[in-house]
Amino acid sequence: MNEQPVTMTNEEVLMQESLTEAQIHKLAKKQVPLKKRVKHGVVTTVIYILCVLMAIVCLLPLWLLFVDATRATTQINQGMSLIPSKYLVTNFNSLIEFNLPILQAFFNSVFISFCSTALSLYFSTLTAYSFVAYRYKGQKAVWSVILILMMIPGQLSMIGFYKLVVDLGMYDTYWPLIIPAVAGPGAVFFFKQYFDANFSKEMVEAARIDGSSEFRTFNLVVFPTLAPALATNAIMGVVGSWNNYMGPLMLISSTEKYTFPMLSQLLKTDRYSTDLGAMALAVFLTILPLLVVYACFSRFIIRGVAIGGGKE
Amino acid sequence: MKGKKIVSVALSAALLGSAVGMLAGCGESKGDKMVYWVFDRDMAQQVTDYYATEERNLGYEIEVETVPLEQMLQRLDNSLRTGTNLPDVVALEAETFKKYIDNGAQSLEPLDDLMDLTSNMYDYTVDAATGPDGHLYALATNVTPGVFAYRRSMAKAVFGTDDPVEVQKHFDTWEHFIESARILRDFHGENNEYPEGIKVISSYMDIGKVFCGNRSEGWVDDNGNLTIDPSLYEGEYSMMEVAKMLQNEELSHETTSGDGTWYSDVWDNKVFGYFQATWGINTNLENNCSDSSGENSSYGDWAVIEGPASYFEGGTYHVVIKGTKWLDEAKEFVKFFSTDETYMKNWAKAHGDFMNNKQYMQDLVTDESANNEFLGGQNPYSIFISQAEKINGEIITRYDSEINGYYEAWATNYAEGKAEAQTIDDAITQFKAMVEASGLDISIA
Amino acid sequence: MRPEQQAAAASEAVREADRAPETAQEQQPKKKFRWKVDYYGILFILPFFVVYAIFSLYPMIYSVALSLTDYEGFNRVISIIGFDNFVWLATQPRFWQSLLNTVMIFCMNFVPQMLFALIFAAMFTGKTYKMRGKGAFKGIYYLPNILTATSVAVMFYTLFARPSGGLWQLLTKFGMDWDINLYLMPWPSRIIIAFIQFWMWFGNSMITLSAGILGINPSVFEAAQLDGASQKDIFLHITLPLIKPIVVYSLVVSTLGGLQVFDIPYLFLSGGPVMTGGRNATETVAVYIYKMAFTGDMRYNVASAASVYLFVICMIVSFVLFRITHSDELKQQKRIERRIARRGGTAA
Repeated sequence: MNEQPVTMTNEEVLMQESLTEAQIHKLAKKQVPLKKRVKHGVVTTVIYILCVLMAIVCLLPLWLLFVDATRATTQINQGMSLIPSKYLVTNFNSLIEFNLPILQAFFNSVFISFCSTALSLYFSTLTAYSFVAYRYKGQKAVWSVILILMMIPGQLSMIGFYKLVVDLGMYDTYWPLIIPAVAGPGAVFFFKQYFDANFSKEMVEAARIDGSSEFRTFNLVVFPTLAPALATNAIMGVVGSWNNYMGPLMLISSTEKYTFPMLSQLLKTDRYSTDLGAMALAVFLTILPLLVVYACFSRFIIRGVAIGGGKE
Repeated sequence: MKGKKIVSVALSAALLGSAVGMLAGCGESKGDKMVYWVFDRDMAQQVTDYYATEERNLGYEIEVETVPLEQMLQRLDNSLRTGTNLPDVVALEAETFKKYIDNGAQSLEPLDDLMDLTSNMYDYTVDAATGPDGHLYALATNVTPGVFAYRRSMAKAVFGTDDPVEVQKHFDTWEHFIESARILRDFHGENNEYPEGIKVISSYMDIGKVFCGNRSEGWVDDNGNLTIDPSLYEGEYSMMEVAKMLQNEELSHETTSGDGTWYSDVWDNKVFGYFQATWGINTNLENNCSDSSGENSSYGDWAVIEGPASYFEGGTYHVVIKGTKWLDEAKEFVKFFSTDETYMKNWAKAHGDFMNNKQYMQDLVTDESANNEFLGGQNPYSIFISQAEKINGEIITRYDSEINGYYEAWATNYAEGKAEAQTIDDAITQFKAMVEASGLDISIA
Repeated sequence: MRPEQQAAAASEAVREADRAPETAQEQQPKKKFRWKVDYYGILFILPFFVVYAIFSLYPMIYSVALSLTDYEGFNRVISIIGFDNFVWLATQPRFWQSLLNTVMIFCMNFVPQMLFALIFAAMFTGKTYKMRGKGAFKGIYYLPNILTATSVAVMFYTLFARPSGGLWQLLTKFGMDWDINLYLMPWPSRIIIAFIQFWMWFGNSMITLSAGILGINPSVFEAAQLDGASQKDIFLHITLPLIKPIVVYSLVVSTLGGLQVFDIPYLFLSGGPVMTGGRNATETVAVYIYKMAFTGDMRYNVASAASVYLFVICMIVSFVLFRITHSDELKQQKRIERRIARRGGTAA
């Protein structure tokens, strides 16, 4: 945006042929009586204060956690503090002594969330694609079914799901945490919306004329064009799967297969809670990967929320 | 759009990963190792230290997995039900092992041929490990009488002595316990070393395990009815009343057992003592007796006495899972950890633990190498033995961990003076309602 | 393109798309290939439905079936016992309390959440007061939502713990002058859990609502402004009614999510503290189901029956909500269209 230099007078500005919107705004401001401008200033200040307050509410617990992670247990017991102390390394060393399988759990979670997201992305786009690229009898009904499925609370099949997994011999494997990602009505809905806005039939027709098979067309022509939507959905998918707690809790039994969220549960229930500083550090470490991911991709994530407009 | 590139790279990596994963997920074969689940890290260590040592040369490997107690039951239940991922030998904890013994025929191998090894064991451990069908399903490694551990320096300052025999006189009944607690509370020291006074214990509900372990009746009688031992609610010094006194008169530090502050009180100079079972002296006190910076430590400043009541908490039982391919090796393993003299004595000395063998433990009373540095050189075994003799194993039921929790919850509410539990009768009524709502197979009289 | 604009474009497109299929169909020129090509349409949705049938539908039916049996604990022989489990559950104060807890925790979190989200969305999209750093604020507000619920629960557990928790100490500094353990008291525990939920979901709601407001056709605002409507009037009489569908959508999705909330209540106090009649203060239905099935005597049948109850409640709630709002939505849209048409008339 080209800002208006301060030295110009109003007349000079007016004489310029094309005014940017910002300039008009500035000029308009100067015409407004002082009283209104003061009011405007007050309201703006209030808004900023509110926003900052809310930001504090959102960040303070995390900051307190981080500060505790750098403090000795004695200090934590004496009272809270907003200033980090110098025991981060000490706490880290005690944490290592705990022998928590942090790295193992981290890679387990990475594996599960990436696999399930990859499956979810491919099959959701494929399903969504079938609704924009083809016509068949009863398609609308099928679409309604998917919309209804979106509304069916998945968690309610918990006991049956557990039994099924056991019967299929998939207990204590990652399969039941990964495969169901193929059938995510929410993701299908998301991509359907995206297709509705961006799908070009011509591209597919052209591919067809070139003799490309339908699968080929989808895989090589359509799928790559979805990159922005894929990125958005992928991050949300990874985060969602990463945070899944109940599934692994029910279905995983070997310690070496534990996921990351299960670790934080260990922290509260087990004797690890002895050392408050180390425990705070451990909890902080369990959210650190998400903080890093968020720092990199917050734009995608927020956009995804805005488009998807939904909760899981 | 740099992000896009990263995402697409990540995506293709993920696709590749899932393909690899599908291949890797298939072949799962176990069998060249005997699998042992245990709930404590130190106990996991004992396998490599004493059993699977080089000189013993077992000829096979033992895979030791440490499963936190909170998860052990769930994992074991799941594994037993599904028959997958089953261990061969499991160390179970006394509060919860009973349900497996009750269902022994379904899930455990009988150990009847080890019966003749039990002559020197504490009888209650054998009774508790015998299923309703009369088979022996487990052997206990240790016996876990509970004691009261206190700070020597505080005892000296307040009562003029840190000698366990003398200090015990101040704590031998609940009445004396409360009286001494009041003295401690009002004690600030000559130079105000204890500005807030001294709290007799950190969490007042720690008395729960003492009372529950001291009952003469179990939670459920032979007809499946709920029974509440009178010591829990009758009389001036019942569990309910003692809890209320400790709470009302600010005699405890009002922490929750196992919370951060409860642990930090071990070295923080605010709390006089802890009710701990044998193993807890090491696990809960010694392991936590200094802060993370190492500046404050209470090491060596402890001693143990019988305290106001005898009780027991925990205890490790080894069971062999039904259908194991390692039956003989598993039995050998169980046998070793319940009978081997070298192991039992050394482990007891190293961890202050109390093992399931009357003879060996009697030997330790006069064994100076069994003096405990953490306890200021005290030899705790005579106290352990006297407490162990009083353990009543008949009160162990499969419901103990849950129902103890319910009772403690309502004793807490009574102590806190909650509106729903103004009187003991109210609290008991609510406790019964809670048992009823738990869905456990118990009828309420 | 800024995310807001894109979102606006997307939601615009969605509305268009409702009418799109018919036109697309008519444009399709190659009639002779149609049946053959469209066969792929069915093929492509097959994986979705096959996996759904196996991993969602079948378990649901299985759950319902289990709820009619005596499948408990280590029981291997299962027999059907009819509706006993449902009857038993209906007489359980603890079960009803868990339902009530779920609703209470949801309301205490959702009402303030929507209120704050609306206020902040209005501030962020307002035309009069241009704000700087919107992106940063949005980023901060949304951050808690991506954090693992388990870690969040443990974090808040330590922060509100007496006496070492930072937030507990903060509370004692501001007004709470009694030295109490909040975790022993039903209402404080519930409020803290509701607060955690609020903390986690506020950003999500705010961004959703902002996107909704930005998706409103600007000409509506322009028309109102030309009419001399004040900012307040515009917000109350135009913005609010127009984003109502999104609020309702959030309501439905949040309610369904709220009815199933498990992670935080389970990990925070695992349902406690206790109340009279064997009830628990923060035990939600999902926690109840989980505890019934996987702890104690492992009563899968009762847990399944409870989940069937919950399922029915969810269905009723979402049906009613959609019913109410769908009719409302149509009315609103018509009213606004009329209003705009009238103005258009006068202007010409």
